[in-house]
Amino acid sequence: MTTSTQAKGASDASAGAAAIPAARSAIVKFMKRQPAGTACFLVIVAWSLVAIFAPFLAPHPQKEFVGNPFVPPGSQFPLGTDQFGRDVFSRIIWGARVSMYVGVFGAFSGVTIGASIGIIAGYVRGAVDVVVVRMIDGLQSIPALVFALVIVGSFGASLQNVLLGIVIIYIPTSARIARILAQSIGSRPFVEAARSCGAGPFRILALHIVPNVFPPMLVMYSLAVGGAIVVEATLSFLGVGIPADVASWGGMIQASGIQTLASSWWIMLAPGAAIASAVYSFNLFGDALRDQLDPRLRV
Amino acid sequence: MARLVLRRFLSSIVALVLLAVVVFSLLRASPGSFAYAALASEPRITEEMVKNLERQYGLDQPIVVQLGRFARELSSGDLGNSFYFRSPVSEIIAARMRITIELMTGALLLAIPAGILLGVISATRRNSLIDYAARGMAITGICTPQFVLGIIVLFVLLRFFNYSPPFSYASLFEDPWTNLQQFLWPVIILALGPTAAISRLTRSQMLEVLREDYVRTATAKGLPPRVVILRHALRNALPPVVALIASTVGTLIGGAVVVERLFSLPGMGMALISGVAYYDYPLVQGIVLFVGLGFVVVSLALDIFVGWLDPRIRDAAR
Repeated sequence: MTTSTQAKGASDASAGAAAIPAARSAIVKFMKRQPAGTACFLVIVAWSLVAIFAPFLAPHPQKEFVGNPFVPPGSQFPLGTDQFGRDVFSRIIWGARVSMYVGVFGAFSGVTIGASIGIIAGYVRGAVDVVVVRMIDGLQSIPALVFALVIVGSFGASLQNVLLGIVIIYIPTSARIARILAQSIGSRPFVEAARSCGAGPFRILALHIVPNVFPPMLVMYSLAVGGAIVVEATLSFLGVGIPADVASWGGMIQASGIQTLASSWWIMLAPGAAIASAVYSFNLFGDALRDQLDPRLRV
Repeated sequence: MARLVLRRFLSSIVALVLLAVVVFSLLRASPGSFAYAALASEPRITEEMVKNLERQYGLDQPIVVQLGRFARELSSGDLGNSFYFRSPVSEIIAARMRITIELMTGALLLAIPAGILLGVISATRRNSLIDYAARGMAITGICTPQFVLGIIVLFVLLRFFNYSPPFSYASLFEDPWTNLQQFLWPVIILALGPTAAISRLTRSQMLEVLREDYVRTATAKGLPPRVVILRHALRNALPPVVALIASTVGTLIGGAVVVERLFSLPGMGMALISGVAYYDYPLVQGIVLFVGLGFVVVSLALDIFVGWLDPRIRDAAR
């Protein structure tokens, strides 16, 4: 028992040792060729750390009224206070949790589910493909934001339902892309070769199709996170997303109203800058990733 | 060509039927809140009132019967009554759609020429200052959420120019000047994203086409550059751009919801938000179906246009 685990551990270690230089050189190459993409990746890492360590970083709790309303940015409150006297800086830190959670989990689940459906449809073809394509067309005939509004509207405004809406809107888009990719890869000679060697459909899907569909889908993940953050922020801005007292970047902009924009600009512009920086980073990182992996995919 | 039109027409109908079924099922996913929303203005809600209401809306019948009735009502154009506005949904849509359509038409009329022009200039003067500026604008336009852009524009207008667009709606035909002032900024904000997307795609398509042999031939036989670019290159670069415009219409509807809210324009987007906020199912359902129908019709028309532009696509449908 002990020896076998030790042996397994040793083989893992050697495989890992071989993979590390390869990964390192790929990363170095990416950093050299895509300096903007690298900078964006660092911003993504920074926002992720802020989201994870929000309780330690935020000077004040997100819902507590800590000062007078409409205090401009200064030494006491670096980004001022909002119309209820809550610390804007702290709420942006807490809001990172909502955006990153919804963005990363929503996009990840939506794209994974969509890509799986698309890959199967693209590879199997026939009746399955026809049904999937019709479903995609039907779902895509409603604009994404309207669809998300309807889902949140029918199930109620909460974090979970916003997440559900995002997952559902990413299923058809990613299914469509994955289906086309799986179709083109499925008709390549190496897949034919694998089939003639007697490989079953599961083996072909797992070892030949999925690894080849994965790199372009990686790009899709990054772009989808940016899109998901926008959808969440927009829903909260429209007042139908996350409940208003929970700090979310979109909700912070909605709550104060246009009337106070000219005088108390920090209440709306600070979360706006936070949204823009996160969304830019995910989108530009996705673009850089695409250029690095396969420049032909550039649209 | 007729075959292409027929094929796309049939698939549009399938898409619409599916859409109606999805909307129908979402409505039935939470019948409890449906009743409570409809009775929201009542001081006390009893079990009996909920039962009565469910009977009135036929929610006590088997699901297949409900689906049949829903289809029958829909085919006769009856979208039911809004709980919140207490009037027929079709009337609400009819009254409000012109605002949304004005916004979207304005944005498209701005975005399509601007985007194509920027894309063509970018591609023909590659790596020039104007190319960098256009590409920078494209990235900004694609990445910035509309409402963030909206508050930035409003902030600049309010703080530095002390200007605020008029906030009470005036119709285009009754008061064109106020209407123009009201729609100018929303339309610009709405148009930036599509302009960016169109210019980016036009640029990459043009770069590809400009490398083709027939473009070199056209230049070699002495045609002026303008004719080569417009007649030979642009026409062949356009089909994917037209296809993009079709999907842009979808994002414009989402964007319209946002700018209507930002600039207090009482269009369909505002109706949809209040519908969602007050669990006004008939209203939400009606607007979604209407939007879906509009979207499907526009994509159908644009697909046919692409088929006309590019004979290869037309032939592929055979």
